[in-house]
Amino acid sequence: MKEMHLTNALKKDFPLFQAHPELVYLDNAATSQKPQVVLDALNTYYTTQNANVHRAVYGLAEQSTLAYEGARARIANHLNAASPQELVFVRGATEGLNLLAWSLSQQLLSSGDIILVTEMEHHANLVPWQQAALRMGAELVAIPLLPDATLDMNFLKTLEADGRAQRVKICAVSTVSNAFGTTHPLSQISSWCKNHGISLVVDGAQSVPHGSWDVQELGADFLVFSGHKVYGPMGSGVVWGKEALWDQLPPWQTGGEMISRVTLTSSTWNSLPHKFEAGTPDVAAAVGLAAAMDWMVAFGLKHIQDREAFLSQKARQILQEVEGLTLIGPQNQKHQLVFSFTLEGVHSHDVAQYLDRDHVAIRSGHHCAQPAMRALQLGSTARASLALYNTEEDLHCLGAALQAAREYFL
Amino acid sequence: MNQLDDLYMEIILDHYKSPRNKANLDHLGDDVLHENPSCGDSVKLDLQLDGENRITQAQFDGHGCAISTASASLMTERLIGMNIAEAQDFLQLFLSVMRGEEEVEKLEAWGDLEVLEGVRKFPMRIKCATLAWHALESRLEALTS
Ligand SMILES: Cc1ncc(COP(=O)(O)O)c(C=O)c1O
Repeated sequence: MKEMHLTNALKKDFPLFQAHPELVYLDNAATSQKPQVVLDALNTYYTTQNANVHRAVYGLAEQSTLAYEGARARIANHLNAASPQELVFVRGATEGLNLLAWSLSQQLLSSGDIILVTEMEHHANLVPWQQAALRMGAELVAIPLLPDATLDMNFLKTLEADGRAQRVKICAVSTVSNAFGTTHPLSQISSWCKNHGISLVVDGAQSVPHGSWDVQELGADFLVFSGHKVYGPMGSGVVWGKEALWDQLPPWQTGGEMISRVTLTSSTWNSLPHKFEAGTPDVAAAVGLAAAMDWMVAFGLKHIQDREAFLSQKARQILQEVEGLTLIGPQNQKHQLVFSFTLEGVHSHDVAQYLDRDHVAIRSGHHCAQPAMRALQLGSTARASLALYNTEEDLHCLGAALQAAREYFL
Repeated sequence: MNQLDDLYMEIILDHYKSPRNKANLDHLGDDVLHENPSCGDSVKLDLQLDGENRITQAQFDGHGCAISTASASLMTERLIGMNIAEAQDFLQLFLSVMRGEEEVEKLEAWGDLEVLEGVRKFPMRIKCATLAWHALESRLEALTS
């Protein structure tokens, strides 16, 4: 009861829920709503600090630069990065993964090498690698899915047995599947990569929003995430990488800001992290993201995790009680915030449309993970995904609306 | 409730639950498969013509929501008996109505098809309603080229 009171109060921090008091927002895996403090940070930046960064000498430009670099330092601190230089700001996970797919493959791949992904990746962590492989004459290999939407980890043994493990140079995996909510065995993948000298890129789009931040514990070489799923603004995102690795990589985009010396025929590159930030950055987005992460810290990461674990358990319980509902994915994962399901006899689009009438917002379709859907022979699923501000009441609304949807279409 | 019932008219739900002219079209290759990339729904369409280019049989296969299934079902019912030129006019008229360029009354002559009018109030679902029609478009193009 105390907890419920707490989270109901939490929604008051989010102006969108004031504008739509009836809304039961369960599409948090797609994007989260933004607390007032984040909107205030954007407003303060644009109303009192706006100027281009890094170039001009006047006071306002200095303030803007301080705001931008300050945001980088705060986020670096939250992520437990060795230094702010290890963080490159990008537009979101998609841009970050494109950057890495370009620069890492340029640096590490020769013809015949392998990029290892999983069959469960978001298209953003699949297509850039697939295209990099095509460009470099390399091969894309995917760890397959098992019927319960977990990874077939025995596949790594197969790669060792048939000698392909030696050819893997890059491995790119997500922490949590946005399609099915599966948490992948990252520490196992990480040690396997270490043993085989493979660079590991982690797509944290679905775990960073829930407070899994520590890059020292991650066991990866690079981490990518989108700020807009972490209560931050659209257009914000981060790539973290180890400095020694960043240093070796060629830049992705080129232009202003990322250079050191330019002649008509050649250029040298700026120091980290600027080498990877060509052009005018979205300063406000960076400032907003730092404010969002500060806000989470003020709330307490442990508290967030406890609260979400409670919601996760409730959600599973409520969904399991809906007649004709089949949950896709692991059946006993404790901390699961993405629930993918089918409702017997009702197409997921019709489920989502019906729920919209009851102001319950969920997703339907293939969730940008077509290979994974194909592997499980699913055309589409409905997906409810949770965030910190959701309440037990939200979940009861979901359950009741699903029950009613089934009756409507049957 | 009203708006939702405008979308899911009784006739639509009826065609969804018991689609007409739905058949297994596995023998047709994936090159005739039409997909809605935003949701993963797909449809295949098969037309049989007589010696005078009249459609004698129209069948569809695929995975879809109530709207796309009912639309395909209603479409195939109407196609039977049309010649290719008539089918092309019919297709263009339907797509114009869905785009809001033509009055829905124009569909009256085609009976139940009018029930798809409600979809126009749900812009995100227009792609569902037109999926089978885009399959028809490419079938007709193939037949005339
Ligand atoms: C696991 C995962 N990776 C990558 C992305 C891409 O994020 P964005 O669209 O913000 O670039 C998403 C977004 O849905 C995601 O869930």
